Amino acid sequence: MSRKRLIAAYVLLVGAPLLGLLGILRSGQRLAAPASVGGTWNLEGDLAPLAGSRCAAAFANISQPFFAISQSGSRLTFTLNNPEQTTLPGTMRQNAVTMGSESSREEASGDCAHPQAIRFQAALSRQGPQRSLTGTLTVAGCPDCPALPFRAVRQHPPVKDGQ
Amino acid sequence: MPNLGILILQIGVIIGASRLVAVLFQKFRQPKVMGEMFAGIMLGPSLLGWAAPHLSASLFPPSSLGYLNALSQVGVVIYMFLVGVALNPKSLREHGHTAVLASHVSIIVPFLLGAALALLLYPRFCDDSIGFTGFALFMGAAMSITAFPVLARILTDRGMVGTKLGSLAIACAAVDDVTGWCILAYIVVLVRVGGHASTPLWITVSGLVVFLLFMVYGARRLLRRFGVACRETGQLSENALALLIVVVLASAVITEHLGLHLVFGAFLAGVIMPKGKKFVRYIFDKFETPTVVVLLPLYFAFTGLRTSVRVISDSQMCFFCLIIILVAVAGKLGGSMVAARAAGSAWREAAGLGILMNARGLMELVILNVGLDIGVISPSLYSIMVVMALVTTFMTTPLLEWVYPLRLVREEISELAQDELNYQPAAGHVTL
Repeated sequence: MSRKRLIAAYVLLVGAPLLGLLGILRSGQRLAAPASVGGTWNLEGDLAPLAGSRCAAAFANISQPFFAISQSGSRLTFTLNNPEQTTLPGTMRQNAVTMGSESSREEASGDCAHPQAIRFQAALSRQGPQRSLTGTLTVAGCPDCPALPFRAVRQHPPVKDGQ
Repeated sequence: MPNLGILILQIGVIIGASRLVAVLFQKFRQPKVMGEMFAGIMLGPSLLGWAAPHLSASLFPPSSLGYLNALSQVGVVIYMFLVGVALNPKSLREHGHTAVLASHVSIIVPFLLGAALALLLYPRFCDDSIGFTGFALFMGAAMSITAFPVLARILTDRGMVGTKLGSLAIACAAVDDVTGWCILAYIVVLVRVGGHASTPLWITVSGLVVFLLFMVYGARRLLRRFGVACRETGQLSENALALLIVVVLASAVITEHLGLHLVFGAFLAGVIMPKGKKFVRYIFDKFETPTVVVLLPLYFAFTGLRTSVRVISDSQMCFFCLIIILVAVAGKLGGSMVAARAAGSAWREAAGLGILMNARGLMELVILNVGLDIGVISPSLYSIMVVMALVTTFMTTPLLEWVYPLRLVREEISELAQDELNYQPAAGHVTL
């Protein structure tokens, strides 16, 4: 391969992509990702109104930190801190966070004692790295169970090595 | 204290499953490592956790995974050391312009496409704790890596190590590896500094410079004695071998404490080791079998336990998975092929190089695990990228057979024999 051809190939196949990479990194700065909500959360709410109702069993074995969130963009996976480590899907749209799918089996069956039936809708508040959720807890498919206002505070963001 | 019963049971099940699946994959002319990776995925939530959740929960209780992870990290540290030992800078010099151009293009083109893909993925798979630059650079690095040991294994299996294509592929993969790890080291520093890491940036950077200088100009000279001893006696004393392991572990721990990752130190320790044939062969004889048979399957299983291919269950996730695989193949296979062609190789040879460079294998898994550990990729994207690594590695052997059939390899070997060309690169030692 001649020197001239090598230089031309280098400019075209290495130099041009490098410039393209710089352009991509520059234009990507304008993109915004959803707010970080991953990590463990403590629930600050009064569950007393549930006492005696058939929904109480759904919350019975859940201890603090009440739930953990695993996040992939606006898709969330909630894991309740009970022995079964119940998982629930969730979503985030701007600052609105929802736990639990509307069309789950538990809702259809009306099994109010099952942790899978727990739902919430909440608004996210941010102050630096601190995050809190304020909203309402419900039990899907059980209209006689009262909706509970709650506040949840993030304890730890997801563990990152070396941090 | 770990529950030793559970840990030993886990190790037994993992080794058994990985051997079984590896043998099955070999029947389909796939490299063993492909079967071992697949076995790891099968033991996780993708299959065992889905088909037998109670069995999975009792075999891999969350409280036991820390010990399994620790063992698997030891395995990957030794493995990265071996990858570093197998690297021989001479192999690049022997191929001149073609190798330099092809290797650089085979990094930059997939890197560019990976970064471009980040524009699409960042708002959908990331959160604001990770900046776009760190994510885009990570995606670029993950797309541009080549599984140097898998590539060497495929070449050895097909008797292609001595061919022009084989030696060119080894030279390009060696450059890719070194470049890929340097880029990843930069990304780890970038992400950890952005994420308020415990190690300040100035300590990381100045510490790394001092450590690199010490390893290249200090430790390397001392290690030459190992090479001389091995050349003269054909072996190392037990004390020398123990000292060598201490050097590897110390190097891994130092890079970890500087804010990087264990794997960088282990790789660096391997790179600065003597490159004499006898020494390299001796090191592989001593370390390869326990690493490949016992420790690496644990790493694959740990990777599998973090991977859930069930996230790719709806049409949107299938779309992203497909796009990621297409971009990975177009960047690495296409980029390497075009570069080799531009450097004067024939189309068939250029396509062969592209196919070989497209195998990502275990190296991709190591990169992805680093990315998940530092939080630069989310669990869902991690799972999709693991699938991409499996697919791109799986397709290597059948595509190579199609483009560069064994008949051509035999013809080329017989021509080379006639020309009395006898080229044996050090990478032929790698049998993973």
